[in-house]
Amino acid sequence: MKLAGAFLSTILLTSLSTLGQPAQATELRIATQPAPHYAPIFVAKQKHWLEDDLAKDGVTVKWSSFVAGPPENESFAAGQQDVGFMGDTPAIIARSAGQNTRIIGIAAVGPKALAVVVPKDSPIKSPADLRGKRVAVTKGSYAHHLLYVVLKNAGLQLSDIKLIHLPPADLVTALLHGDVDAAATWEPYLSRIEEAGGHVLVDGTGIKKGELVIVAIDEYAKKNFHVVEKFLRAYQRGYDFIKANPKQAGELIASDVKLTPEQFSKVLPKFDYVIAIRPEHVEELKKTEEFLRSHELTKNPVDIDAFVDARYLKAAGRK
Amino acid sequence: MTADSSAETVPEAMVCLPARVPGQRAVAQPFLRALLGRRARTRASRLIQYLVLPLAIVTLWETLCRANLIRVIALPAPSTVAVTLWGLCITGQLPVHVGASLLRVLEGFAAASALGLSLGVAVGISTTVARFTDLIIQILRPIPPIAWIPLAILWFGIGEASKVYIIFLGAFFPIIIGVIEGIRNADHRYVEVARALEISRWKLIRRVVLPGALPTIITGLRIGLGNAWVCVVAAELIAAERGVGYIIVDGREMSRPDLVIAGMISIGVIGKLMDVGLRKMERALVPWRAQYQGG
Repeated sequence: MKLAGAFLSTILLTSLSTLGQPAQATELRIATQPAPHYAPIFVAKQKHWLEDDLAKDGVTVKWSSFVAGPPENESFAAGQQDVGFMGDTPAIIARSAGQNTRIIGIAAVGPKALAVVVPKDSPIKSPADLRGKRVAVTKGSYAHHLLYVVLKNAGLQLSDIKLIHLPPADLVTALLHGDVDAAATWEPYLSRIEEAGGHVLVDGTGIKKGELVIVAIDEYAKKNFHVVEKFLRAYQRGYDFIKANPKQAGELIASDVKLTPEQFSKVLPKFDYVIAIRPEHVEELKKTEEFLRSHELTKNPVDIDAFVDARYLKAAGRK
Repeated sequence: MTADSSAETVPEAMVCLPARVPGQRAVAQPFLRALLGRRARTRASRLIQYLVLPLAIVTLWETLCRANLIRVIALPAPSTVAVTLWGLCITGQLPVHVGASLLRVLEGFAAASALGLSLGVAVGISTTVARFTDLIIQILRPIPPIAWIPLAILWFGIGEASKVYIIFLGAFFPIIIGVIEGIRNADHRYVEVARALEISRWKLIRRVVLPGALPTIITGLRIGLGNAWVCVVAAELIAAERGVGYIIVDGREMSRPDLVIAGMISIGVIGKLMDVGLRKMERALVPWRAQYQGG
């Protein structure tokens, strides 16, 4: 009985505690999402560049996949990830909730890869028609912000529609079965919906840049500067490969991004794998933060200038 | 009950004259006696016993959070949860969510009661019906309502119907089992006496079997309602916009573990209140139960 109690409390305290992170990590745990937004890292993954590069430092690489930002945030909160890829919205939500991360790069910018879609033969012809309709979105994702902006530009509020929270795969099913009248989502789901007869009502062009970010845990990044540097360099290398061999890249990462090589070559133009953090990106992040705070989707304000950390990029770029 | 209480035949507060009882301080005012009297002290010490462990745990939890020994993004401090819960109450959100969940639970429970009672009586009084339905009931019973969610969505969509269906499943099996067992356990002596008096089968069921089965049936209903409330979270995983289960789902998606815990506490408190209410109703409806169990 005593032993069981001691055992249980040890497990509980180590998982909840802030203590006990080793000085130099022997592992790099990468959180990804199966989407073309992060194609460069999947090229690096398939080519084993990171594993080879980090083996000299005695660091192994562990890959995880999440369907969207919120479940990825959960894993970060449980202390299971070191670096990760997600939309700007979940990154800011996590930071506001007290997650100790920093943005070390812009994974991609893709306003066309993020859209409000309607099914085939939908009576909805413009965003104003969304009033009173059932609209599905993965709450806490960057599509949630897009929906807000789309509605605002049409003179509507989020409260003027029936917002239904669904994870990405269920969202596609619900839209195609007619359980919802419209949905806000991203690639590869957009392609899937379009192939089933649906079409884009309005995408992010001109209204939301659709920034995807690379985040890292503060403590990990501080203590493992070179690992993070190599990680960013691998991403850049992946991008160079895609630019030089788009077809080959499509075939290489088809299962990672859940798109056939044909589909991938069609959606590739929608993305700009920027990596560098430019002032316009910071401005966009601030807009997203303001939306979240004013709609009480986050409790605590986030200082975007403090959230963003370009030092790792600078170091990676120099070499 | 202390040995002295038998000597107190009138409430302490009604005693107007001060009196000395061995071992008790003499007090002039009657209300002081009510406060400091033995019965009050027993009640106070009992209250303390109920509260001391929960308060100790909450204090420890808060201390660990403040000392930064617990990552608050994984387990928020009780003070944070309390503020969140308070915010939900005064903005009127909590009553809306609780109301939405209660409505779904009542709908599911009503459907489960109607079907469970009628089917249960049929199975209980007819061995033929029992044999036909036994396998189906026994195989479906262990399947947790959560496992039904994919089918519920395919059959009923993502609206209220699929949620009420999950809750219906949670309530149905305890109810039908309660009815069947209650009927089977009806006291044979009464049945034999009724048979000896040659009353009709229908009258036998109505006047002897069912009243005898009533205590177990009501237990089944109580467990069914409790189970229905437990299933609220499972049901509200299906694209809900309101409800206490929705508060938990929302808290999870928005990285707000304090909302998750606030939702959990709401569910626990309301479940407890429902059970208290049902027990009171049970005592009113089945007053003979105490003797029945003893006899």
